[in-house]
Amino acid sequence: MSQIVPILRIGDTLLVSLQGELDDTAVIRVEDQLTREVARTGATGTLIDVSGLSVVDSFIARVIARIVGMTRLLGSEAVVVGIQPAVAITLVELGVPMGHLDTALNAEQGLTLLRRLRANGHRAG
Amino acid sequence: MPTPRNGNRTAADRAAADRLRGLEAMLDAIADYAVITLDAEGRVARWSRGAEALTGHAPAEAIGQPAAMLRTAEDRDAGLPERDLASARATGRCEVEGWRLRGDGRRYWARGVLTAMRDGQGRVTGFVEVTHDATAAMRAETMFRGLLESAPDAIVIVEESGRIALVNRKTEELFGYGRAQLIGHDVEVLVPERFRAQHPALRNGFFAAARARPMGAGLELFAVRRDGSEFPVEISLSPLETDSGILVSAAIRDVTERRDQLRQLRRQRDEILELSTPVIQVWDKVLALPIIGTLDSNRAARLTESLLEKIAERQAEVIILDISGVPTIDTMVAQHLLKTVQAATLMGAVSIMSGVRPETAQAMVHLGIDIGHLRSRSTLRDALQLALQIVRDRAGDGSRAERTVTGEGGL
Amino acid sequence: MATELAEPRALVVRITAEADLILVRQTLRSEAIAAGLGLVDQTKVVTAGSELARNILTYATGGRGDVRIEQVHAGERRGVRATFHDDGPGIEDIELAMRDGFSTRGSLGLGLPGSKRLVDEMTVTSARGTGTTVVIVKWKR
Ligand SMILES: Nc1ncnc2c1ncn2[C@@H]1O[C@H](COP(=O)(O)OP(=O)(O)OP(=O)(O)O)[C@@H](O)[C@H]1O
Ligand SMILES: [Mg+2]
Repeated sequence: MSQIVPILRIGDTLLVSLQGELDDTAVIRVEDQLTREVARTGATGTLIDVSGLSVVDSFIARVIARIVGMTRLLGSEAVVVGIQPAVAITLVELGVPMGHLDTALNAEQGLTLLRRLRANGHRAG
Repeated sequence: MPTPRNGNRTAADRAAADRLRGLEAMLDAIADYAVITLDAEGRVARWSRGAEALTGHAPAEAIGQPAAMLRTAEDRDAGLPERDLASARATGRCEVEGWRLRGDGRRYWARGVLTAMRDGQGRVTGFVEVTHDATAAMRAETMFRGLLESAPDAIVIVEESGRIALVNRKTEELFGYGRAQLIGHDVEVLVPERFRAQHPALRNGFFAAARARPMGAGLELFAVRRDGSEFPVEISLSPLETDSGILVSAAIRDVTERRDQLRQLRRQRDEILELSTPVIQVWDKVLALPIIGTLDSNRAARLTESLLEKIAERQAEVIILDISGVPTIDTMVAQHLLKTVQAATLMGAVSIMSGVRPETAQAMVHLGIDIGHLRSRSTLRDALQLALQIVRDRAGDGSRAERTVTGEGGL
Repeated sequence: MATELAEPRALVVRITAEADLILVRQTLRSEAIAAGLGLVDQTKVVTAGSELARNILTYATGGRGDVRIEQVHAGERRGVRATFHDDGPGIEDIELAMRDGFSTRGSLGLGLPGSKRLVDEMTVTSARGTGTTVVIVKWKR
């Protein structure tokens, strides 16, 4: 049985918090649900909080990257928040391409970044 | 006129006498052994050539003398000659060993047996003592035992069957057993329970191809004391060829202290590594990592970890990696720095490099390293200024200012 | 004589379904902790293990295999070792499979080379038709 991951809505921003041991099915379900939610609500931004993940392997990383890509295609912005230090160094070593992601240390900074991204209309690089 | 019977007897006597002479001649031919025949009172009755050669006394000087003539004053005072005779009389045979005096006053170490001779009624009619000069062997044994006893290591000598043949004083000290509790027992009593089952096979393997070598190359070895406590050891094995087959001598050293020292050293080294890569909080949300000295992969890994942990702990938005204190940036270091920057970026922090020398910049670009979001300043001061500006812009609504900053960034 | 004595305890996790990945990760994590590995090294070895277990699910016949996880000692060093095995079709060209970007399924081809970067030792034994065994070791620093 796979876990339920709730998607919260705060104003025009969606927040999804990935936590603990997630199986692949749960991660894929988040991808589907989030895509639908962005389309349905017209949310302008999404925060994907991964501070509760102690392991992110290439599969989960790819799904996260896909979510970001899809929200962008739907005219919204997504910021990945709270990647753990050990996870960050592991992802770099593993070689998953994640350079195009927008990231922030915490939800507060994530919201600030979302606001900036929306104001600029495109990514700073 | 001799009867045929008498004649027969005489012939038998003659035959017996011949045999005796033959025997005596044979005894005399044994040059390496002193064969001394004693009468029932322990007086010399016969003195072989070997006895003459060994003791330097001619038969004429010896015959009729008490056997104790060869013994040292201490042995005589202690009544040892009488004790030997009594023992041979009682049990038929006794092993003799000890210093003997030669005619010229020099000593030799005699080793042999004293056997009682009996007549048809079982009465002791005399003794035969057969001894040889074992001075050299005794010296060698004494030396061996002396070495064994004074060895700084516990030495356990093991037979092929796995039984302990000999141990030294240090073994008693180290393991808490008395000699008698070890000799004759399986050497496995000294091996911790969890390794015991597999030990005999390893031991047989060693006997099958015995050569001097350390035991369990590269392994952390443990031994167990009588009280059940374990301690780390280092063991070197060497085969001893003896006339009773191959024995193995195991020199066991307690390395508790050395291991503790090693741990201590490692800890200190770690602390020094930690100290030499301090992560400094220069401003709220700004961390600086002035790297000084050569970076090896171990230190580089530590550095990355402590920096990333600090980023999380302080929620730092900007980090400055100052590499002006690193003498050479080779491929490995460059790649590592870049991975650090990438990981920091994933966490959501902006990285600024400072102190990048032209040749380093060239090397990094040539490596095809993707510089991506990396910003760089030639001096730490400029880097700090950029950092403060970024933080200020992020705090305010200054999205436009941030873009300007980003725009002028880059290596 | 073996160069390493395995602790008597070795844990075997069967891999037959996606949910087993979680058990593989949890077991690797707890053994890595027991071997004294720091958080970063734990995360690296667990991630590598997750990649390799995933390869079994993807490539082995019926997605079946197992992993044996144990603590290892060698001299002063302690670490954790995981041996992934399956009786699947095997890897035809190991050298090629170890290259970044090589995938027979049009995936990123990161699993094997990435895992190798995350651990201290990795050996892949495989041939067409004989199944695949991957052994990884991560030492405490
Ligand atoms: N257990 C296995 N049995 C058979 N083939 C395997 C096995 N593991 C890996 N391979 C082969 O090696 C190739 C490379 O594996 P690797 O894990 O590096 O990449 P991938 O699985 O294709 O992509 P990714 O892991 O990035 O999703 C695979 O495409 C597959 O052909
Ligand atoms: Mg794979």
